[in-house]
Amino acid sequence: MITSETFQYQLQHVLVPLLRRWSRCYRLNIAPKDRVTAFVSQPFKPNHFLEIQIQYSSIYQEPQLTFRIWEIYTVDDVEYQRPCFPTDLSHWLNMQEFTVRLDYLHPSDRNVWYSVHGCDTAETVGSQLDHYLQRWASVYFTIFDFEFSRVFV
Amino acid sequence: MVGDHMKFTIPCQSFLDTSFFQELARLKLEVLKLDSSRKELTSRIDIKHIPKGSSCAHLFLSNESFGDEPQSGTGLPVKGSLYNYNTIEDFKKVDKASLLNQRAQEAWKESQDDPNNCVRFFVISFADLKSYKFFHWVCVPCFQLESLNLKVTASGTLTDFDKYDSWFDTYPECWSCLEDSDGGLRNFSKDEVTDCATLIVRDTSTIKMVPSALVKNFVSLFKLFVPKLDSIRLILVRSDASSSFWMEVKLCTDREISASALKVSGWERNSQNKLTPRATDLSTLLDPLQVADQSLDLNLKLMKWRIAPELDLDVIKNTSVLLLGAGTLGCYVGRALLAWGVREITFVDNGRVSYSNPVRQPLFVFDSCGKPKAATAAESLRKIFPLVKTRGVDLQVPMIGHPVMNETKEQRDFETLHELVRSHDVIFLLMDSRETRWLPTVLGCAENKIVINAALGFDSYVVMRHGAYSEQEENRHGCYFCQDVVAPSDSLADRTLDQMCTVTRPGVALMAASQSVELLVSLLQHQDRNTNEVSTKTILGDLPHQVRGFLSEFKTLQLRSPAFKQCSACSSSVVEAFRAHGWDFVAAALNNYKYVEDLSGLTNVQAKAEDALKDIFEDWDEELDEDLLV
Repeated sequence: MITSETFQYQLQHVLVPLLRRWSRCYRLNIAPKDRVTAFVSQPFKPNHFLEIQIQYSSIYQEPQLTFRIWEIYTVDDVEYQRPCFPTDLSHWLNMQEFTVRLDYLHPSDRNVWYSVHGCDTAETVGSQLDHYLQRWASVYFTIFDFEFSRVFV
Repeated sequence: MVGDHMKFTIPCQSFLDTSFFQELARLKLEVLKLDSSRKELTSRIDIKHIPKGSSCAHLFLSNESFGDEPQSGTGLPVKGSLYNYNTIEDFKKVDKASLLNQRAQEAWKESQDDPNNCVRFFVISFADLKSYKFFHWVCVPCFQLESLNLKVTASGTLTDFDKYDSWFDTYPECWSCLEDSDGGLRNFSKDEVTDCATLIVRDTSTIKMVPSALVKNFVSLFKLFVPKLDSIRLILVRSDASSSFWMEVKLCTDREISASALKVSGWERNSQNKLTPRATDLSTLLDPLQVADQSLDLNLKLMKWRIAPELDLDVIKNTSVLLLGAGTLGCYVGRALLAWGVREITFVDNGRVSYSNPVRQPLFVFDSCGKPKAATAAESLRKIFPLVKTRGVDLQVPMIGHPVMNETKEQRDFETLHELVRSHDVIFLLMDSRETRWLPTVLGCAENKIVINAALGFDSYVVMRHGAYSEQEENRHGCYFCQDVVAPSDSLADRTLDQMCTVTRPGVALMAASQSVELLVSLLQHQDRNTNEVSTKTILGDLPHQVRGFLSEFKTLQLRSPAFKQCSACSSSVVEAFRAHGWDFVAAALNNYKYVEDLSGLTNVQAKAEDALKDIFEDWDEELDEDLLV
């Protein structure tokens, strides 16, 4: 578990620099300051991108990882983008043992997002607060990129 | 690179968050309506946190971007504007070059007072609220004096990055500054520029040694302030020392500088590097219930755009309605209320759907047969619009003149009905006998509720709103029973099938149902809601007391009948007796309708009528005898 204050500090000082180094991340939004949104390309799924959000879950006292998938297509010279909900997420993500559900209603606009269930976070990440988000990201971001650990090199 | 024409990259990439479009949709429906004039936006461009995979900084727009208050978050604040067009055709036919030129000229002029205005953006958009597609095109004007050519004569990596970075940390909202000949840093302004030849700009590009096109704006401004200057040292500050750099730039002019002649660019290219608009399709994202919710509101809110801007939709939406009767009238009234946006509808009926019902009663289908009418009607309504708060109550409305057989049950039904009347704003009387309407009429008066009554004949109907109850009958509109000189009694005993069923031309029920709902909606638009005013109007037009329709002549009449002092249902003697004695009063009326006639004074009225009639007959007999004698 991680306190809200430690999370916010590590979000800005640990996670954001990691995400900036992630080669697949091409857009980063840090607004509001307690939430980071990363836009990530999908090399094996051209014309799609992921919008990944990391914020604090005060219920679990853990980082909360949510995301949605966008599709880009063109009609009559107009480039459209729309959220898409593939039937089999395992073709899109490295699901491994993670529980991913389409059950997160975003508080700002009531839109539905995928959430990565965080009930095993404490076991997976350990209890030490130093470098907590670093360890957390090294585990959870493999869902989107098996080679995420390259950001640590 | 040295001696080359200076190259630039795109200023930034935009991303319009879904919350931006949802706020745009809300504003369009509720505030802007047909207003397509320019609206203010704000955003931030964060050059400190550009990821490795991006060639430039980003301009994020969210629901917080509307208005002129800087939105929260990191980065430099940027002012912008929105042009939201009413049709896709208007959006397409915008003269993009002219609009860009206007906005660039505006930024250029305003930047002469404050160079931070060199960085502006604007968005053109069209919100297709029916399909939830939002067309948009973002533009960040980049401009350069037409006569000015920029050539790089030298460049290199920045060695004293911290000096500039810390100045910008002190002035986090400044895009640029100047360095004087002593190496001091100062704000970029017309007054400060005279003895400076070094311009420092925060660069939104991440491409090695290639600044963003926004730098042209600042260099042009510098040249305007110091026309004689023919070279400049440019320092481009990025997120770290390794990517920041300097350039010596020759400012070549082929003719005299004209302050208003600018070369402009800035329309954003799409992901395939084409100059075309983009669209965000949110139809797949929204919760279907939310789409249904907003779509229902959409049709209603469109009325407010041109036809009835003052229409109060909230009062309709927040009105709870009790429908007594879930037959032909009840079903049609339920649907019409739903279409007007009423969100709480309760059905009361004690019947079951029969095989003859579905063809005339639109909330039932063949499979409904045998099921309780009230609950089935509510379930159908929920299938049509899941967000409606609706339920069905299986209840027999106690009827005057129908003696109490099972007091426990009938008292419980009475109490349930009373509570239902109390807890709703409007009561519709849609039953198929007169005596069923009596108790709800009394309850409506006692609880000061709006009561709308609809009744059918074979090819005629009456729709009326009962007068708002007060003890003073003089100025009150009448109720359904005000024209009767007898209290209602058991009209169902010893009736044949055709007398017990409502035998009407099928269209009559639709007409009565729709008129009764429209009458309610008009009434809700009146400032006093349940008014007794005569010949009054609302923003929807006339507000009649009652409408009678005659299908045989395809004619409707507006009528008004005043409250009758001896009415069996709404007279103060009846209503106050109910208020004083509750169930005991009701039980007495059920057991013997004459009790109500005595109480209201109808017995006296009848006696006087008898006497008057007797006098007439006696006079008649006398005249007849005299005639015979002749």
